[in-house]
Amino acid sequence: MTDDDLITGDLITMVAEPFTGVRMTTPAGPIEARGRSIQRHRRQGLAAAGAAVAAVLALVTFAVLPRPHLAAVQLTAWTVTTEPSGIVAVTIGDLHDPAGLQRALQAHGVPAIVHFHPPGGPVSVSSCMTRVPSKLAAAEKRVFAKPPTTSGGRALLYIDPAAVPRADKITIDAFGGNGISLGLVTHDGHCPPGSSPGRIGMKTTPAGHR
Amino acid sequence: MGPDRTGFAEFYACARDDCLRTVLAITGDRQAEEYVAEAFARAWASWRTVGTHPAPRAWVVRTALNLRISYWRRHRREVPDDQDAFPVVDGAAAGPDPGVVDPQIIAALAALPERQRQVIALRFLLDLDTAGTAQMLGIAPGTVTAHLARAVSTLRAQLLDTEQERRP
Repeated sequence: MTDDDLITGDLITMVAEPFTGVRMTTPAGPIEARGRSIQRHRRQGLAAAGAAVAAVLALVTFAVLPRPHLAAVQLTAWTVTTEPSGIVAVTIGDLHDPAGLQRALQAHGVPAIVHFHPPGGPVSVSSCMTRVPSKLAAAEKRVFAKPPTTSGGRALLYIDPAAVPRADKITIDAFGGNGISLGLVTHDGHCPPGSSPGRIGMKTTPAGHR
Repeated sequence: MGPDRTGFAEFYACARDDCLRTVLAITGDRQAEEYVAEAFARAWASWRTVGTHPAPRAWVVRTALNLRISYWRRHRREVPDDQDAFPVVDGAAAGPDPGVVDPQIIAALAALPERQRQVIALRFLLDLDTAGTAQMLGIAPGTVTAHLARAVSTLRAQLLDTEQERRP
């Protein structure tokens, strides 16, 4: 037996005919007007969704792309202060603006050559380096008045400007996450006794990096 | 330039009564016309899709039934007004105009399980075939046949008995 066999004339009469008096009274005009309204809302929804997507993309782009113009609002990369004793205290928390630190040291009476080496970046080191503070050359021990330390992820150096021989310069090479190498280079380009030209790899005072 | 809506007016004129009757038979809801009208409005807004649908009337009925479900989900915490009580399939109180539909058929349909009532309405009032009914309800064609057989048997017993009782 198929479905058609089940649908007989008498049943159609009994089921369908009572509904023949049911008629849709809504004219086509209001239906189409409502349809236009639905369509308008859909378009507005799409536009809003598009704007939201664009906003999210802009936010993601803003968050992901490098923002060099925001460097000014970052925490201070380094500070240079002269203590009452005449010792110049240097803190290095971030490997930014080595030339600025070099100028600041110069302003505090410390002739210096400063190099920052961010992780993954090319490493070029000053001509003279001392691997560990305990093995500082005698001249360097006078210049770096106190042993370098760390505090709060920042390296602390203490330099006595009066101990820097005339025309000589100190060298500061800070390696992101791998410490700071200190040294002294003489005015004629030689290294003091005990220093090792161009050696790197000391891990005495980790310098923070971001 | 909007989509071509050629044919919508003709479709609406031809299909609106059948769609309303089908939704009314399935739900017995006084607001059936509102749901069907909204469904037709959505069909107008999506005419590019609905116009090429293999069974656009079934699309409208499906949409109207979904709208009704959504409406009652949103308002289920509200106390229903007596005028719009659901389900209205309690005999004389049913239908957009209670005086139009024979309360006996409304009562007989209301007594059927929902799936059987849907099959009867789609086959008898919307004139869908077995495959179309199965597709719209998301069931197998054989299941449609089984529901139809049971529903026909029940209706025959109820309506024919009533008919015989009416005869002098």
